Amino acid sequence: MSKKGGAVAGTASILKLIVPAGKAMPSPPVGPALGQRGIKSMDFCKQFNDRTKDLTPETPTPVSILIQPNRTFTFTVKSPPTSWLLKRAAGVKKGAAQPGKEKVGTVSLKHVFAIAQIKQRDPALNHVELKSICRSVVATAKSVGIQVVH
Amino acid sequence: MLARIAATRYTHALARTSRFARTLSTTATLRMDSAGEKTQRKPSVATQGTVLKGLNIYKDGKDPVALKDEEYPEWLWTLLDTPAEESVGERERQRVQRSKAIKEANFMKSKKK
Repeated sequence: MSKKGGAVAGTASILKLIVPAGKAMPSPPVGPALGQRGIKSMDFCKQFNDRTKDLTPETPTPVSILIQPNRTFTFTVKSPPTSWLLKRAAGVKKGAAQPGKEKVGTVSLKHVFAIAQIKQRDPALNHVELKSICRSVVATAKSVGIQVVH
Repeated sequence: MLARIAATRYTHALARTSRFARTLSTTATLRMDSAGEKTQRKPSVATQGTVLKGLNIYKDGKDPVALKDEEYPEWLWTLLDTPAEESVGERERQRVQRSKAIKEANFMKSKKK
């Protein structure tokens, strides 16, 4: 990125990944992506695993890493993907191959409410009305072929 | 569909400011039950006490349990309703009102002496 002592200042970059909670280490998802930007993956993994130690292991956790030109980094951990939560609630492994045309599972409005409560803990959705979050969840369900019933 | 949601949100936001409350219609918020009735509400499929499996993401937590239908907010049951049909020309009327309101707001914000 930026050369040390160079005249031009480098810019911070953001790296977005989805990492299984408590299990950050493997080369494929994490290693090369961080290594390319000059960060020791071990440092990140230790901090990440520490921050996600309260989550059920292997919960896919989106994380947004802000990398400074001097190779220091900070990261925010977000809530699990809505589609993943819906598939778990419906007891389904894979979403529909043709969403809208086939239905792979069913979920009730109370499930939607519980999912929305989980999503509201996400820093980006903290100040959004629960009703709006529920509407997003219903729309996501439609996109994976999960039917929402009363 | 996204444009419509954006439009209703915009009209809601404007309707909250008293200045525009008179001029904007509220037909955008009208909703009909899927059965066509506005009073009756069917009981939920997930009765009270149903364990909502798979929704616990914490190590030391348990799956949430469904509460009684009454303990959930009223708007939850309206999420699956289909929106009411718009009257003819409603879209155009809202478009005209909205662009007028935007022009007024921009004028008020501008620093022309």
